Amino acid sequence: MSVIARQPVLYAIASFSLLVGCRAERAKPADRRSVSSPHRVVALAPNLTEIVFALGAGDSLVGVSEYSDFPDAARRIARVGGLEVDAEKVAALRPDLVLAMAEGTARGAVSMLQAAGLPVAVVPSGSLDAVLSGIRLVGARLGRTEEAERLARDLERRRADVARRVAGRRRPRTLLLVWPDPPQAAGGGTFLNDLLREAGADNLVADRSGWPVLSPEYVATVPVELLVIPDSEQTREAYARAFRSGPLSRGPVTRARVVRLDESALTRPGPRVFDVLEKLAESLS
Amino acid sequence: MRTGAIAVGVLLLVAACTVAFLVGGVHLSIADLVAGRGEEGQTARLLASLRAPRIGLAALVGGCLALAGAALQALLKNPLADPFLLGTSGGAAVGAAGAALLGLSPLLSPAAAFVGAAAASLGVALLARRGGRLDLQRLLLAGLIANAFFSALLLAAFSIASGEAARSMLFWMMGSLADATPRKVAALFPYALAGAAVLVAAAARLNLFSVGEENAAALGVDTERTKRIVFLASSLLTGVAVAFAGVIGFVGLLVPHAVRAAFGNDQRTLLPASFLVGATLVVAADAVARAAIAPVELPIGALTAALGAPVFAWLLLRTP
Repeated sequence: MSVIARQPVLYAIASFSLLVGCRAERAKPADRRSVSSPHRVVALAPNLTEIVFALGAGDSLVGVSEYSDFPDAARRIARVGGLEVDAEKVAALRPDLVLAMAEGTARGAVSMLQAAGLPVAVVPSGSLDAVLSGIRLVGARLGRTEEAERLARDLERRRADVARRVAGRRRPRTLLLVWPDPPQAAGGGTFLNDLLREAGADNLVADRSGWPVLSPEYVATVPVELLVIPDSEQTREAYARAFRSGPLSRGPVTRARVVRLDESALTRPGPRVFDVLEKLAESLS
Repeated sequence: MRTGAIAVGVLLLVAACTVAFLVGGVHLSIADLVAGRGEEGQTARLLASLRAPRIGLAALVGGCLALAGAALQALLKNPLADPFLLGTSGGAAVGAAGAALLGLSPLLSPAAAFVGAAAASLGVALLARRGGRLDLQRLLLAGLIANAFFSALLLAAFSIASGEAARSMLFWMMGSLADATPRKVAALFPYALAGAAVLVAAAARLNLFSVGEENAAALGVDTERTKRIVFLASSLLTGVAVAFAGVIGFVGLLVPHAVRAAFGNDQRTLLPASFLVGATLVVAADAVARAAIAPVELPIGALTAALGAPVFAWLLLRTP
């Protein structure tokens, strides 16, 4: 299950403490270490796990974050904590590469690991461009530059196809709610804002950066035409309650078209978000 | 004096409610509300149905907190007494949050909050006792200890709870009126009324406390009984306010001071007027919380604390 959609509040706090905390040290794309490719890799977020698998390096993973459940093979790898990373557990795995997110990963644990001399790569995720450069960066660190380039090119091509298809279409006024009550939306400066725009939707809260928690009055009165929500067993009940008697039970939002997208694909800034992009664009045509 | 003060309080409250009804992140048109047809009318009625219970809840919560603060200040003869500073709110939040974590029915959360509040008040009072009386400095220190302890409990619960439970912990810590419903207002009302009635009825006896406990006893006041009643009633008011709106700090400190400065220290005036002005303050603060950075809301507890902390500092400087 996705960290972001399950715990947007924690996520917001984590990214906030990241902003005020130590400055993220971006990993250098290809330094000496990647000459011999790492074979003990720890991924501190589920999307990073997915990227490693997509680059064909799943075998090198010795530790993954709590919610890493895709692909299935990831479920069998040792867990090193969710939003609160267990730095000692990570160190005990003697990794030769630790992958962390620029947003959302506990900053304290990452600086501890860096201070302990472990090679940490901090991967950006704040936009679709960042997801692509993240894939290239992980590829470079894994010694799989070519695979990463091929994957990124393929995703870019599919992205460009979507752009051609949605060009000139009318853009429905849209909210993407990562949590229903209190309603928390994907705002500007997030990869999901890019996703909405590129799929041909008009994000009503694009001018709010991050993951704004919206007031009940706003949600009840905003002339929204399309509601995009993450779908998973764990979230279904909460959304059903919100539609039945909560913030989504009154006003124009009750007449909005609802598109449900697989939660783990939608809310993780990994390769599958481009599947979601195609799917959303398709369902809007 | 008394009717004057209450009339002023009622006027302030009516004005605040009117303004709060009209402002917010979304514009509410009265013309549409009264005569609107079609979509505009629907929107206006929808907004009204969301705002009215929220204002009602804000008023009751503010009134409860301010009245509890005023009564505690009179009882402890301490101008710095406040349910928030003395740890009562924290105890209530831990009680209510604990009940939520244990999966108890939301109907029981006022009871759990009351138990937490009463336990906190009692613990703080015991800690602050010295030679049979409540020591002013020790009382504040005991409140500090209680607050540190309760926020530690809440933070610990916050970090082990996941998803929805973590969200509700944030609610207890920062305070929110966002999920007000007519049912919640109706559920809070009898508690508020009962607590307020008990305290206002004790106002004359509280007046005698200001001349010292021994003198009050000499004048025929059953001081121990009065103390217990006032403690319990203010714990009840604090508990239910926290159960329905989370921790909203400093209301019980700010309001009685303002009222005392304007109308003097007669508890028969001070207590009811504090209720009205407290209601006014929280209704107004909630309107600001809704409108300031819409469509996102400010946490109301943060707002009242930002207002309250400087006033608290000023009071501290003035207290000999």
